[in-house]
Amino acid sequence: MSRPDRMRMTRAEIVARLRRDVGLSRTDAVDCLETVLTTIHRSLVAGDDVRLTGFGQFSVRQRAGRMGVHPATGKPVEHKARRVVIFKPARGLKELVDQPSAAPVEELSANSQQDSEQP
Amino acid sequence: MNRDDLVHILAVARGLPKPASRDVVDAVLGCVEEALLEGGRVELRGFGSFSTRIAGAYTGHHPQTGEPIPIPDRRVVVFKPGRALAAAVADTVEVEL
Repeated sequence: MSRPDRMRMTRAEIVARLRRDVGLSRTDAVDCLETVLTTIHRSLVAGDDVRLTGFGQFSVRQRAGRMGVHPATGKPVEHKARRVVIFKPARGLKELVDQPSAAPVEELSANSQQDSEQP
Repeated sequence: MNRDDLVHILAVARGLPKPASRDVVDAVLGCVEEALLEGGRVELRGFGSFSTRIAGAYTGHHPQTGEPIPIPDRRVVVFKPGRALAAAVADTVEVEL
């Protein structure tokens, strides 16, 4: 949208795929995708890991609280303990992404600095 | 929760036959894999985004022999939880212990 970068997939493309490959109506495709995401979301909120064979595992980890320093004022800031979502790709996905036929490394490194922050 | 649980929950929630539900789960994950393979990113607002980055080369060591092993540059998958998911999980209490 804002810049012409590499393919950026959103819900719309996945919905299109569900209509084409699974033969769902638009409404059903939208609902199905939402249900999949909501189900994973709820499982994580309940503290239950989601293991998707061949794809990866979503889990929740505890982060300890710590004291930080405000970069501008130098005042101490408290970072509260919280839980965070971790995704660990399965071996299959790791190998898929790292194979030579995947997008070349050079192009990606050139993009990676600007890509670090969401648009 | 595993893949079968997800397939089952989806089938019940949407009134789909099991095979269709399995096709949906496969298609959704397949879409993400395909985008990552092509070097793209997947943004699912509220849930999170998948992308890839280069993990730099370094020299590792064999845990037993201590012999140096060169680890080359490689492409790795990164998942960044979306705001809604991160916030929903942040304050949950640890159940086990």
